[in-house]
Amino acid sequence: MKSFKNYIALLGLSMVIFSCDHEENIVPEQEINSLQIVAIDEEGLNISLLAQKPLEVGFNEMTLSIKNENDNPISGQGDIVPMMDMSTMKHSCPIEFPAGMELINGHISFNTVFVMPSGDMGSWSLNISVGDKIIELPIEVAQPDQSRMASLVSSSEDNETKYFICLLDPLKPEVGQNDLQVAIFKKQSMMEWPAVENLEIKLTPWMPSMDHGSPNNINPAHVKDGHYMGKVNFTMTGTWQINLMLKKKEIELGETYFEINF
Amino acid sequence: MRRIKTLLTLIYIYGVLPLFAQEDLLAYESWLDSMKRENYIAWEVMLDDLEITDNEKKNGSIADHYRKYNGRDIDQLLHCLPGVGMMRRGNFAGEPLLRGLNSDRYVVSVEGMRMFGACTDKMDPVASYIEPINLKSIDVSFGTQNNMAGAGTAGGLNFNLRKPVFNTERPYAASADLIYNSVSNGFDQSVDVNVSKNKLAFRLSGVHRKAQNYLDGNGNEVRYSQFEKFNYIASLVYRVKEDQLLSFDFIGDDARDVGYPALPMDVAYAKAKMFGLSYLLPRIGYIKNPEIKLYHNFVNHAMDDTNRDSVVMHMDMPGRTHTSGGFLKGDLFSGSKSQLAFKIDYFNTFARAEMTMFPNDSDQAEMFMLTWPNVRRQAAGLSMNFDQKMNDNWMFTTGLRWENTVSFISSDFGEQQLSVFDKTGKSKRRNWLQNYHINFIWTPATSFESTLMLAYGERIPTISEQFGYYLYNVADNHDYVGDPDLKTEKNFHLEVRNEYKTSKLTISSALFAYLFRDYILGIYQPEYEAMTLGAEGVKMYENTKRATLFGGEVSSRYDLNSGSYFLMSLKYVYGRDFESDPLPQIPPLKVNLLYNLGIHGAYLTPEVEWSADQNRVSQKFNERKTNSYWLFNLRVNKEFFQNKTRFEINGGVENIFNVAYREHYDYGNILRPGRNFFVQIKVGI
Repeated sequence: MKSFKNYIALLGLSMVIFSCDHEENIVPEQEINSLQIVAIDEEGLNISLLAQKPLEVGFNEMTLSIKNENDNPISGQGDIVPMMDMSTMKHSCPIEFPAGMELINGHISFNTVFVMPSGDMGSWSLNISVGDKIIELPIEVAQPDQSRMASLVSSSEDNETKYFICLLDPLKPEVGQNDLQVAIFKKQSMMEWPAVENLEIKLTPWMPSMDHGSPNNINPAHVKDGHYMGKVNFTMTGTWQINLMLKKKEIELGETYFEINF
Repeated sequence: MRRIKTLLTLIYIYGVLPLFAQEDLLAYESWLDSMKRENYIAWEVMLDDLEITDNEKKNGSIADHYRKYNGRDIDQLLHCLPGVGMMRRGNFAGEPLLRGLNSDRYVVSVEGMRMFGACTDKMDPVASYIEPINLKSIDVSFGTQNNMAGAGTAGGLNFNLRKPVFNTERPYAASADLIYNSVSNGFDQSVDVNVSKNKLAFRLSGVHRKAQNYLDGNGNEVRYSQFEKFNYIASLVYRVKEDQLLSFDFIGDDARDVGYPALPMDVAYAKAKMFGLSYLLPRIGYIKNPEIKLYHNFVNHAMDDTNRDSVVMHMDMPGRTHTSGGFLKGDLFSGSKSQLAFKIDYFNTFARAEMTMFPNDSDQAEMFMLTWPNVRRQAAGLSMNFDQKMNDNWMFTTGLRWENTVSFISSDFGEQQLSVFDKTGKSKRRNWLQNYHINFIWTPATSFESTLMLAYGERIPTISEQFGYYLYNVADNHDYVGDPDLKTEKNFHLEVRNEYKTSKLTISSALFAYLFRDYILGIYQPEYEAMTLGAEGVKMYENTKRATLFGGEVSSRYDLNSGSYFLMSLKYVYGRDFESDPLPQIPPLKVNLLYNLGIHGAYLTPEVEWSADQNRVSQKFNERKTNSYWLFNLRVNKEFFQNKTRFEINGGVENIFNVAYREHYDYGNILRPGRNFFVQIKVGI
């Protein structure tokens, strides 16, 4: 194993040596959900929330680690409801459990799309149910510099539904072909934020300062649970807009974009 | 055996440095012969006084005076040659066209050393790094005839450098040269020093040229047409033994603040350095007269738009190439009736060009792309030429070249860029290039010779054609994208040459047909969007099914008793593409006539140049028609000696009637210079 590591190090070194400026391929080093966001001891449970990065508006992958007083992992059914308390009202936001709602070895993984930051407007918490216990875990959600979450309200033809679109990929955009993944949810009620699976999306990357797009993009198509996958091409570095036009059958729901810099 | 006689040879006499002494001639002649063994060169323009010794070549040549009047810069010199045109983007660094085909299709070399310009927009053709004062001769070949130069489909240009002269009688010689051109208020200065000591001779020269914006025929100043350059050369020859020579050449060229009025950008600097080391000896084993050569050169080029008034977005576009290689050439046998010559050569080259754009809106990030994504190329070739004299009237020459090339990119970033087009550049593209030719030469009488030439050749795509990434071409206002998967381009070349030559009259003619297959051409891609602001669209290079070119050159010289003579030349090319539409940037019919009148050791030379309309234009290339024009020039020349110092004065007026004209193939809507008074003074000791 050590020799393998040496080999990797050597390979990395040689890449540094043999590559010129602007050629560095940054290898992602992040381990998934290793960052502890918050931990509490309450009702005899030791709960810690792990994530890839500090929580922010948009799509967040998280893991809850739940242990009892004796430091033994808990198992069984769990449930999590994100909650925004705006004092006059409360609302939730989209959440998905890609591996199910079972606590396995004390862990449960889930993804949440925070639709707004915490702050003066209100504060976020996760309401965690394990067995018969319900624990409220307060969390901080920041507004990132470059938003990876957008929303739009459709026309009356579509009952003025509010859609939330978040950009999952590309996480680290590069020149050339990039995987594009967006997840789309709608706000059905304050507490119901289901995935939307039946949309057509037209993708147009655009470079505003040059007024051009890029060729050979592939429109995102629905894969699973409101996740849509496609390909987006960037012909150069710079500031790009990823424009998305949403359609449901023949109804145009609206257009939105993400701006990315690299 | 002497060189193939069918080849038309032009001799230009430069003659500032004195001739070397008789005892050194033999070694030197063998040197020269070995340098000239690359046969099948259509035009060899001798520029050096060394050639005065060769009477056979001196007499009856067609254009032996051009050197005096038109050798002030390399563009002018090349412009005069039959079958050659100079495509301009400004007042500097014209791109030679060989029978209407540009440098994508022919092989350019300096003393057999391959070299590649570093500008993606072809602002620096290799010729721009060479100064006439440093040239011994220029080899011009057309089509697929000259297999020793390399694999091209439109011929080759090879610049042979002047060599230091061994001269025991005059160990030191020097010359200086001063030129003034009124149209651009430009001054050129050069010095040239030759030193020979026993076994060692060396030559140093330096050139400085600086010009302001020129005036066109309407009297308008053509903005951004200024330039300044330095060129310096050091050549050294060491006589290892009586018949063995070791030679080293260094050329440096440094151009600054060069304007390109036809293009959206100028050049901050263009720097080239060339190093060549060769060894000449009479024999290695079975190889007679071998020459071994090693070389390296590099070019750094930086485009610049900071001096332009209205720039929508500033850009930095640096580019660089470096090339290394070597060759061995010689004769396997060489008798009175037959000769077998060969050349083994190898080179590898690297090209990188990038583009960074700075948005006016500071919130937006800088934009970066690699326009030549670290392109690497290697080529190894074997050429063989066999000449056989059948009888007094017939001989034939035949030859082949096989070349193996590898092309790829070594940049990860470039590879990512290509993924946009679902292409890869990292996987190595290998090509076997083949070139064959056979010429039949019929000499029914001493005054007449006729040659039938049949040849086939291939070339690989250029770096831009294969790996270029959104390269803007101002001529048709499109961005060009390369295709790594392009096939080789093939050319079947047919040519008939005739020469009639008496002591007074020489008439030479060449008629040719090029039948291209897989002709590489940029094809409009309606589904792609232009990258460059204001560009109309994107073209991708494709192998189009065919292209056809026909044409010919006629040149003639008539000598009068008094030492005066008439010269006439005519050139014409007809080109059509795969859809039988006209090929772009094809020159129209052109005729040149001059009379060189000798009076009391001076020469007075009126000249007229006529160019027809070009109405066959390529709509795919957004071409416009170009009008016919007449140009009149008048030049005078006088040489004299005072003590042992030699003076030569040239002067004259070009474009006497201040005609506003442009060549059809010029970039942009920029007119060529108007009336120009020039004077040139050369002093040699």
